[in-house]
Amino acid sequence: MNGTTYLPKTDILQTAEGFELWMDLPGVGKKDLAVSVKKDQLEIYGKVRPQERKGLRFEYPVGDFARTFVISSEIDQEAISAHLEDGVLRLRLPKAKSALPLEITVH
Amino acid sequence: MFANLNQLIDQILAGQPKSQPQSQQQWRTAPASPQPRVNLFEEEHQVTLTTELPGFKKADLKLEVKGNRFRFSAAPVTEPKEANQYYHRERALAPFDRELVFAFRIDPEKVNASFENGVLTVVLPALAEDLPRTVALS
Repeated sequence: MNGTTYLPKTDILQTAEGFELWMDLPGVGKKDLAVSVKKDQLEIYGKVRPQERKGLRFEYPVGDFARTFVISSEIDQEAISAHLEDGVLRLRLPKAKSALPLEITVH
Repeated sequence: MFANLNQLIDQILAGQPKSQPQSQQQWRTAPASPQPRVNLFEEEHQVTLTTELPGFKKADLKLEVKGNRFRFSAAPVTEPKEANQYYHRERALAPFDRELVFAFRIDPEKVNASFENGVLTVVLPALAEDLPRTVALS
């Protein structure tokens, strides 16, 4: 590791339950991915194994991916789920029930 | 200098806080290119190509070899997002078509391609009859 990490491109979507993060992590396998929550910081770190061959042409740099997001206290941290497929990480960040709109039935 | 400028523009567009330690974390690419970028690696009598295609499915990719040309493309793809309410957007999944011309003819029988974790890796060996042969001195 040379100390440089790259910021993975990320989409943030609003859903009925809360938020979804879609993140490009090409070259990162499940074993090389760490997702953690510390207080209000959501940290994603993906390790990329570089090619051990003689380079002929480089159009893109290769390195680990790292990015940190500050998440709202409305997010139910226990309920965060992650799914990695074809180099895309999909994180579901549901809001805590107490943060969801409550409908009150009128009698 | 332009790299810094691009980084800055990307950051502004992405709404990233400027307080992020820039020496440690960087944006990797300039604004989205219509064609996927490739890295090429040289080995004896063959070239290995890698390209990052996160979000594409194996079935979407089309690879072609003809003479000394290698072409790879994908038709439009959409991700099955339940809601399209973007709060913030940086990614783009666009169709592409790129052709690379090599200095040797590719052996179509020996081409080996794999798609793993969103990275396409293609090994392109040179045609045996194009390889240099040792000439024995009589």
